[in-house]
Amino acid sequence: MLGKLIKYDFRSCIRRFGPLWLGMVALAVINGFTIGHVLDNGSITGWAQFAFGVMPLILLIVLWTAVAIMSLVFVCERFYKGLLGDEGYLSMTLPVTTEEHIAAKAITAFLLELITGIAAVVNGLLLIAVYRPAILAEIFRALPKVFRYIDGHVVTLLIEYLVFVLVGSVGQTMHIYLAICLGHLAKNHRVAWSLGAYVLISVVISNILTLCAPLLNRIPEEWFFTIDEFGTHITAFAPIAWMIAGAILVEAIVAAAFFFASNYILKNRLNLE
Amino acid sequence: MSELVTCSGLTRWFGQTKALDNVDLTLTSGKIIGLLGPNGSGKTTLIKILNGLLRPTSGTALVDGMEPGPESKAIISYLPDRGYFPDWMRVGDMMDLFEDFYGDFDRAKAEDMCRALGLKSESSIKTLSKGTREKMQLMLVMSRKAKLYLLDEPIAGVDPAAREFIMQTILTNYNEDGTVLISTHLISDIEQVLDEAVFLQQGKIILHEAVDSIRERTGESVDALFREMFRAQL
Repeated sequence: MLGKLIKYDFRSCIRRFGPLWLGMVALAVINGFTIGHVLDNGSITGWAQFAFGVMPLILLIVLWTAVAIMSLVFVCERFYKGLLGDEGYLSMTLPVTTEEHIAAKAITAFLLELITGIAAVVNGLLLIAVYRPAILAEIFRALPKVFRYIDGHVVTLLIEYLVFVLVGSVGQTMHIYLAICLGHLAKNHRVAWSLGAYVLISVVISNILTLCAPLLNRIPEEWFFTIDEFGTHITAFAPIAWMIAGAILVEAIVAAAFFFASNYILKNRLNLE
Repeated sequence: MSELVTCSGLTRWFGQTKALDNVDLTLTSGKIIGLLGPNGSGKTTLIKILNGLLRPTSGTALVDGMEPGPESKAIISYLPDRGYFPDWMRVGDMMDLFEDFYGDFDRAKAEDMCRALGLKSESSIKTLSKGTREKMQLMLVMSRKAKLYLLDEPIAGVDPAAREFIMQTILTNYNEDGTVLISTHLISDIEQVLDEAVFLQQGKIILHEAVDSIRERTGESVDALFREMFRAQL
């Protein structure tokens, strides 16, 4: 049933973002062309330069910003409207568990963020490919050289960092979901209570981290870095790797706690308006 | 007749208000039952508890021997007193959804009913009128071969022609081995089709009896008896 829930959540995601992603691709291609032929072309000036050179660039930046903001709004809206609004009368009477509902929403949110991130990178590459294909070719030619200089330690750290960011993104989504669930416990002004709950959870988490900070400060810096006249050098990879692994674990525990708290509310305290 | 719904000592508080007060109720299969009471008598609360949208403060509710959960939801077909369609969906998406989640959904029947109403699979739901959306919701709910139909105020706030359409859709499509529980305060429109009537007043069941028996015992219609009993609240 989880797969089926994701299917419909993802379908709603595609309906809203599909045209925007296509718009980003189209604008990237247009900008690649206009930067090369209008902005780099000294003979086009004045209003023509603004209309055909600057304007597409502004539109692309506005669209990128809009997609980023809309992704966040979508994550909140699909959870709030889909489970706790009128649509809840349909979704919460489907023969699925509340755990599956939360997991489906979180996985769709994760996929949306991932696709938006990939779309932004592809967008940039596409723009370069149309503007100056030679630059892109140069980048791809240089990549093997870069990889040759990166040893296994750095790769481990990069992968760990990537996992840290991804788990953090899931944790952020679960943070939003818990805030919405807590807001749902209020009789009135549930959106306002949700916002208040979001801030409160942030304060609690940051206070807990602040309390833990002195423990981290006790670890001697020399374990990780040495500083000499040539700059900072990483001396030991293992402690850094362990530290990032620990941070991932903390993130995962917090995300799981948010998940179970949200699930408790949906299961036991659901009260659709 | 096997017991399909069993409620014992069912109580639900909302803050200081007792919406359901120690309700004991047993419903059997193969019946059309009216859940009758004025606004605020606890009809919707009882239906929401049966389909798992609310938890009781105390007491138990069992549907086919199961506490409300995914298994009981699979055999309940529920029509709420409001529209629940996601506005991004098309008519075909709703058909897909019902087919994916409910093993007892008869897609061919639903498509026939939609066609009769002039609805196309690719029609966007948000472009449909409120009345058409309500009819479509009812058609989807009645296209299931469910064990229990929970219909919350299906005929409230609609014109007489729509009322007739709604009652006709219910009566020609429900699973005769199952039970239909219809909540309403408009009794005269449904009295003819009811097997049993449950009267709710301020969260308490004050009467649960076969409709024929009520008529025989009191010498008046269920509607007349209802008006008499709830005169002060209507």
